[in-house]
This record gives sequence, structure tokens and C-alpha cells, in this order.
Amino acid sequence: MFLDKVLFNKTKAPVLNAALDVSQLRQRVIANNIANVSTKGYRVQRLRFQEYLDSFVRKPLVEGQTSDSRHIAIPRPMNSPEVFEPETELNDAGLNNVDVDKEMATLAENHLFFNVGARLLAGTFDGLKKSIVGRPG
Amino acid sequence: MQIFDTLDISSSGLSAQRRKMTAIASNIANVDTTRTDEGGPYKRRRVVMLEAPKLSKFSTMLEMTRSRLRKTDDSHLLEGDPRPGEIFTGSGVLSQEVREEPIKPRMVYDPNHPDAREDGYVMYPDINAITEMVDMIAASRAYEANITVMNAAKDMVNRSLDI
Repeated sequence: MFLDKVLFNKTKAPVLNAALDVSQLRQRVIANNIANVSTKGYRVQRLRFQEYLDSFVRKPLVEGQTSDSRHIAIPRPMNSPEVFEPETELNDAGLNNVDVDKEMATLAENHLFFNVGARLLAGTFDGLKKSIVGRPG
Repeated sequence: MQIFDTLDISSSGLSAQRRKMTAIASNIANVDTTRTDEGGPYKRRRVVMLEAPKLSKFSTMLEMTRSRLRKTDDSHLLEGDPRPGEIFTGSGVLSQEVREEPIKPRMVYDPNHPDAREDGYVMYPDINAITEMVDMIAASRAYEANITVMNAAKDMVNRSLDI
């Protein structure tokens, strides 16, 4: 979209968007781990998202324009965040490998991460609005 | 909606733990029950947790098919690997209640009891109050953990409305 190209893609909005998406997904993964805290044989899940977020920040060496729907994008779209199951020891209860303390800590971290992202995104839009409207009065 | 999925997951955890709590309450209340509909002493209720099935990959598969390039020649390269063994996030927890057959009922000698056997012994359910109490604490802590997650999720939704 034209507006995306001239307006939004020049701001921090795309990367913040991605960060919030990741945070949302991560929240889901943590919620699932905690919901299954007493499920026998459950295997804890984690989210791999660093590469995905990096792809928004790091500038690619070569960038291609796509002017036709059949064109291939350069660089290739980065891997989306991926859920994986780490191999960890069983916890003390011996039911599964969910470490509640760790999950709660990750939850708190993710919560803050989301709040920071949301605040920055709100700030971005605020700045954008100011630059459109100009100085009031 | 994706934004409320987390709440669904946490609420499945809450209801599973609450169910466990109900079973424990029933076990403790029935510690001396000698008569049941099925006959014999009360059978201990126990809640087992199962992982809810992983989310369907349909939408992701749809996206993948849409973005896939056509391969019209054998020497063409495939557009990226289909990434085998990809795992998707679960969708919460399921609970199931089972009635345990008493392995060894508690035998009390009381010949005047209406449910006494011919030899004068009464079969009481084999419920260990300590086990039940420990389970109760575990269930209530797990419940709290799910509530914390739920509050965090709610706060995140609220924050995203401020954007």
C-alpha cells in the first residue's frame, strides 16, 4: 500500500508490530505451560523469535523491489517465530518438565516487554499524528 | 480471536484445577462413607490432566500453499524447506475424573455398625488426609498461577487498546 510505504514503513511501527505479535504468541506459550503444570508427561514449550525480530532491525545487503506479483522478494522473508520443545530435566514433582518459577519469571518479563512495545507504538503514532497536524494553534 | 486465545488457555487451566479441588473436597468429606450407590465404601475421586490437542495447522498450511512458488521444471529449486517437525502451541489442558478402586480399604472392627461384614469388620474408604491436603495446596497454587497469567493477558489487551 502506498500509505504504508511513505508513512508507516519509515517509522518504528513495523518492528514494534512484530514485537507485539511475538509477545502475544509468547504469552500463549507461557499460558499453555502453566495450564499444564500438573499434566503428566507434558513437555514444556518455548518460542524462538530472536531471528525474526532481528530481521526487522538489521538492514539487508541487497534489497529488491517487487513490482509484479510473481517477483521473488529479496531478501527472503525471515523465518516466522517458531515453537520448540527444549529437552530439560523433569521437575521436582516428576510429572513433567514445567518449571513454574521460570515460567512466572518469563511471564513477568514478557508482560513488561509487551507494555514497552505498546507504549512505544502509541508514541510512534502520536508523533506521526503531530507531524500530520502540525503545531496546534 | 487470537488476542483472547491466551485467556482460553488459562481458563482451561483454572477449570481443571477447580475440578481437582472439587474432587479433593469430596474425598475429604467422604472419608467415613461406607455406603455408595454402586455398593461398598466410597471410591476416591481423582482428576487426571491431559494436554489439549495442539492447534490445527490449517491456517498456516493455507498461508504456506499460497506463498509457494510453482515448480515447472525439475531443476527448479523449492522455495525454502517445508520445515518438518514444526510444533505448534498447545491449546490448554483437559481434565478427566476417574474413580479409584480402593486397593486396600481401611478395616475397622465395629460389629454393631449397620455396614459391618459377618466377621465384624467395616470397610472404610482408604483416604489419606495428608495426601489430599498436599494435593489441595498444589491445586490452589496452580490455580493462582493461572490467575496471574490471566491478569497479565488482560493487562496486555488493555494496553493494546491504548495504542
